[in-house]
Amino acid sequence: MSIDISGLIFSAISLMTPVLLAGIAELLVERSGVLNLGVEGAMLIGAFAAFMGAYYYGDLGLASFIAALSGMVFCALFAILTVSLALNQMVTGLAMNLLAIGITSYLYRASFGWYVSPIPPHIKETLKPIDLGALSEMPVVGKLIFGHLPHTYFAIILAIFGWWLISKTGIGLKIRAMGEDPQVADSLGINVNLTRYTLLLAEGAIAGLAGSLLSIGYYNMFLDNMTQGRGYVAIALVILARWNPMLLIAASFFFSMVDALQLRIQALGLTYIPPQLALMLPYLFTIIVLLALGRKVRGPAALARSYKRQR
Amino acid sequence: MDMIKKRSGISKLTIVAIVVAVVVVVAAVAVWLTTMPPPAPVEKKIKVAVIYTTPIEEPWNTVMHEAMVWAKENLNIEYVYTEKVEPADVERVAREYIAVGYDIIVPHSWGFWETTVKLAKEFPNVCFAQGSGPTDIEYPPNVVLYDYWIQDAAYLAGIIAGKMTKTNVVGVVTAYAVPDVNRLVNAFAKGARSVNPDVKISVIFIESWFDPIKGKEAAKALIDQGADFIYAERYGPFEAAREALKEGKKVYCFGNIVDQSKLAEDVVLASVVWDLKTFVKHLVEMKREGTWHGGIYNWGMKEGWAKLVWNPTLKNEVPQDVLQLVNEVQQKIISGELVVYEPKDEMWDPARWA
Repeated sequence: MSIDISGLIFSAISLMTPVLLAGIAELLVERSGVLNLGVEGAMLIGAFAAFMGAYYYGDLGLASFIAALSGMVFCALFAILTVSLALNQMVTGLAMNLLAIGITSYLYRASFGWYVSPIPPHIKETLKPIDLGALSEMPVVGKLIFGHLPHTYFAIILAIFGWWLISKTGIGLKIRAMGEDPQVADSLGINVNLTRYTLLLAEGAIAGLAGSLLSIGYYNMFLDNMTQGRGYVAIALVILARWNPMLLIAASFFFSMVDALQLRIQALGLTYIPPQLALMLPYLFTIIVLLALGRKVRGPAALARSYKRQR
Repeated sequence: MDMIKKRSGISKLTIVAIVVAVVVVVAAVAVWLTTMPPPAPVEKKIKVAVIYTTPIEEPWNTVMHEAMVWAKENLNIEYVYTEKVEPADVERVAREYIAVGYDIIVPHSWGFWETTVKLAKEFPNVCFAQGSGPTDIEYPPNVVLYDYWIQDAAYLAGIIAGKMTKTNVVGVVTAYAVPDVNRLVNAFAKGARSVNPDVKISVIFIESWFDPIKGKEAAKALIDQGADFIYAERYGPFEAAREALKEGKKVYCFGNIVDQSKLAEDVVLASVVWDLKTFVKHLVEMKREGTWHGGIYNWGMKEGWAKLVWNPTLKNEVPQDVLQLVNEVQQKIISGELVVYEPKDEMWDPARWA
């Protein structure tokens, strides 16, 4: 028995999409000096909102829109607390995640009754892969490259756009400047708060969309805390990618690849590889990469530091 | 004097009349009462508190919740519950219930067993039913230990898979390699092996009790390896099987713990179901009659606690001889002729599956 390579890569791309989407949004925000741990919560809110939209309106497009919007509202709250009020970003982010867990499970119960059983509410149709006609029907690579949900291509395009924005444009320079020292950036006439607000709102929308993948894209129901730490994985991948959008694509792809690989190693049923060893692989991979490449890495100097503008 | 006499004479008559009236009324009431059925003695409500570690929507909890709701409607009990309780917090929750007089405390998670043992020693008059825990230790006499011993039904599912598989590869998507999970996986594998010695069992642990996305990818990995039957011990495989169905590959799944055929009618062939109604009834009766005795309750199919529930829409795709074989083996299990469980089933040993 051997491992089916095309199945492996397809699976890796599926697993990659939500973390890459959330990751690129988080990366841009971190470059501006804000650490938003609440990206996990924004994904969860997105997953919930998308499911409710799809369940009650039966329209997956509308559901995705609602997911993006609610993610945005969620991150707007984070922005008010950390940008305008300059509260501690880490504490606020963690608190927001707890809020997201509580509010989604409360609203879920409030909508479907206190007891849903034995089968949880679910939707009949999930998001469909894009149809590129002849391209999608090409042998082998057709499905592998052109058979994914639109979100996958959006995530990659967004990452490339993010790279261009950060390293090739004046706006990118300003974002980087405020990530290094917001006070200096401010004194140079850059509107720090407005830029951070914009980036955080965009992050909320994108993370909400990433979350919607879980409840209406890859699966057809919502359940408590269903993001299962994928937002935190995205944050870790941003560090692994050294705050570089192009490296983020590579990092999230290889991380997901190793994750998909470990499932397949288990499926081989080799008696000499215990499942725990296989399960460890993605994290072992991360540690090795960080050891090999990440020793001299320094993030944005002002990351996670509260900044309040002098009057 | 005369006045008084006269008055007393009248009052004597009155008294006689009153006495007669009273006697008549009392007699009438007595007759009426004796013809009435005696009133039922007021039965004390048994107060049951269940503590869950995850939301009640999780199948493991759903089964207990359904049985308790059923008992509340049929057995005159009072049922309360707390969900999403961390193991570190269970002692506080349990103590609160004990303090307000709950008769039966049901800590429904492996992570709670140590607290259960501790509290059971401290409160010997309170009854505890602990949901899963180690089976090789001594429990206080007021503790009942139960777990999802549904390996009999998993064995039957294995027989179906072993008989019907065309690729000779049968998959399992499950959570962690812990004893109660291993027991089901091993029973499923044994069932498949018993009818098809060439079958290969592929097991994937997703290392999470609830991550349908991971479970789905795990199932896809199994399907890529050629599996055409998947025992979905956790959520996830149904959607993978549906996608395979769209591509023209027929992959059947088995649901676990609750009847999950409604969740994916096109791929779930049957479910390995745990039904706790008889068990809860037994607990309530023991408490009510004062015959509570602790110990390990490893019930099975005979007690109606494990069941294999077919999906009615797919049952007609099962060949007649398979249906017949499943029925025969089920009879053997119920009569005690066939015992599925062996102690070594609790161990993780992939050499038995490959």
